[in-house]
Amino acid sequence: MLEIKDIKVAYKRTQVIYGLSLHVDEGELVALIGANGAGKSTTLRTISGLLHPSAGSIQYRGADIHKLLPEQIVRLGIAHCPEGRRVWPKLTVEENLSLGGYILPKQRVLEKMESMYAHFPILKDRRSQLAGSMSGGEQQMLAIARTLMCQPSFMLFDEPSLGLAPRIVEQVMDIIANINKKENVTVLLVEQNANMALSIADRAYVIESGQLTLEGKAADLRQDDYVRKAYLGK
Amino acid sequence: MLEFFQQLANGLIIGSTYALLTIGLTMVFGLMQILNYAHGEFYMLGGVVAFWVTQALHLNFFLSIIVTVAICFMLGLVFERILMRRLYEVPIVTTAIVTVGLSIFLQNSVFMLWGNVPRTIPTPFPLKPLTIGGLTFTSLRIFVLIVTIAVIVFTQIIIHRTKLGRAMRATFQDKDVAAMTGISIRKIYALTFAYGSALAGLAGVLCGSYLTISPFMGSSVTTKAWAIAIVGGIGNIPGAIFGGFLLGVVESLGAGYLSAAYKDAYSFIIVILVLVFRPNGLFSKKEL
Ligand SMILES: Nc1ncnc2c1ncn2[C@@H]1O[C@H](COP(=O)(O)OP(=O)(O)OP(=O)(O)O)[C@@H](O)[C@H]1O
Ligand SMILES: [Mg+2]
Repeated sequence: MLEIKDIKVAYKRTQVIYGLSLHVDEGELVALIGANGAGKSTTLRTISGLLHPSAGSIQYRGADIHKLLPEQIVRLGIAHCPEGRRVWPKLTVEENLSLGGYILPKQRVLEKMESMYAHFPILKDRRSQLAGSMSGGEQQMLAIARTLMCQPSFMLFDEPSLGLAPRIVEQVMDIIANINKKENVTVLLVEQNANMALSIADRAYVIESGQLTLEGKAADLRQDDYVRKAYLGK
Repeated sequence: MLEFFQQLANGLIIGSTYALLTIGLTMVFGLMQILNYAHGEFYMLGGVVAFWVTQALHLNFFLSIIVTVAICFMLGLVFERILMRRLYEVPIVTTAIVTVGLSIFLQNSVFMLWGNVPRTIPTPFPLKPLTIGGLTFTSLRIFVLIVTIAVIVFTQIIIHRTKLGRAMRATFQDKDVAAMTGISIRKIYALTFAYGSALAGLAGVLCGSYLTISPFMGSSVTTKAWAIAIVGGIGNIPGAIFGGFLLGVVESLGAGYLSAAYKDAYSFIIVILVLVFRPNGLFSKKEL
């Protein structure tokens, strides 16, 4: 479904991704794990069009997308839930959700919004509250719901567990697993919390300093000595 | 006491045009980090275009306002397309230098084509003042006040009640995320710049109907709009509106009670006070 071939990505003059290739098949939940600064967010930002690779290509359902703008990519059904939640702090919960469905017709937005409220009752209670005044966990729920609003068929999650209490992390991981299994959304999940990510993923890649160093079935990687030492703290 | 209220009312009328003028400037800076030194030239173009439209096309005053605002909006789109668009990723100082250049270019182009004879846009309003509750106004000034307030309210409605406005606020707060939800940042930038230019043009027509129009009338206006934007908090629209009215009133009271000769200095005294006591402006957060 998504095929990244040997991309190189740089910010201004500093190169960050040195030839990275990966693929995600329809229906899969794939994890991308790696340490701080490895290039995980950069990879996701490149997929969603905020950055463009200086070499290599990205294909989605067989068509090149690496030259498209973010507003075109979301219209192909690829949605990105960014690192650090990034809800619009001075818009209300409802406004955040409604903009999440920016590309849909008005009627559809209202329907989607109701279904989000059904999935995330907390958001319904807070619908007219400013997003910036909610707790971190609530903001993460909002960020996920906002990303779901556009009815994506492919979702990118960037460290959704960051800064959340363990109980909430589990809840968030359940939600992501559900989105993948029940709603049939293909997922590429970036996490530093490798343990969590590998517990719900089908396959995983390990990225170090802008290059992939390992790939395999999530279950196998959890047994891998190197992964256990470097990422699972065992 | 009556004298005081008269000055206050005059100040509010002038202030309303200042508010109109500053909204665009502060939005463009808040959204795109462009220090637009050519903003006053759109004010000037508003006056010049409206004068030309009433003279050459014989349109009446009211129609000429509509046509001028539309033309300024279009000019805004054109300049965004050929110039501003190149300034979105460059250091702020560069944007200032380029727009100073644009300002010189526009002033002198109009000077070449139009000369430097001061003119005033003819209006159908009688010169005889009205008296309302002991205060005297020309009907033209009341018209100006009504139009500016209507446009300010209209702007607020667009920003707070429409999908476009919601998209603008989202872009203002986090443009990357806005782009990822499908909002075209380029379109938002272009519309914002054009809208700001149209508002400046409108202020130019309105002021050009009771002040004189000349190719160089924009420079002092740019400085004043910056002063107001700083007082209100740069990037903050409610701040720009409040700051506009505040400076109008201060100028008017200063001119009435102290000395009219230093009229323009009073605004800058306010700016200095604000910078000393509230360096981020009265309304310090960026907010549409
Ligand atoms: N806007 C930027 N300009 C310049 N360099 C950047 C920028 N953003 C990230 N980098 C650099 O790119 C490298 C990869 O960053 P990236 O954000 O992709 O890492 P990450 O794997 O997501 O890390 P983390 O787990 O901390 O989020 C880092 O060295 C970082 O300093
Ligand atoms: Mg990251």
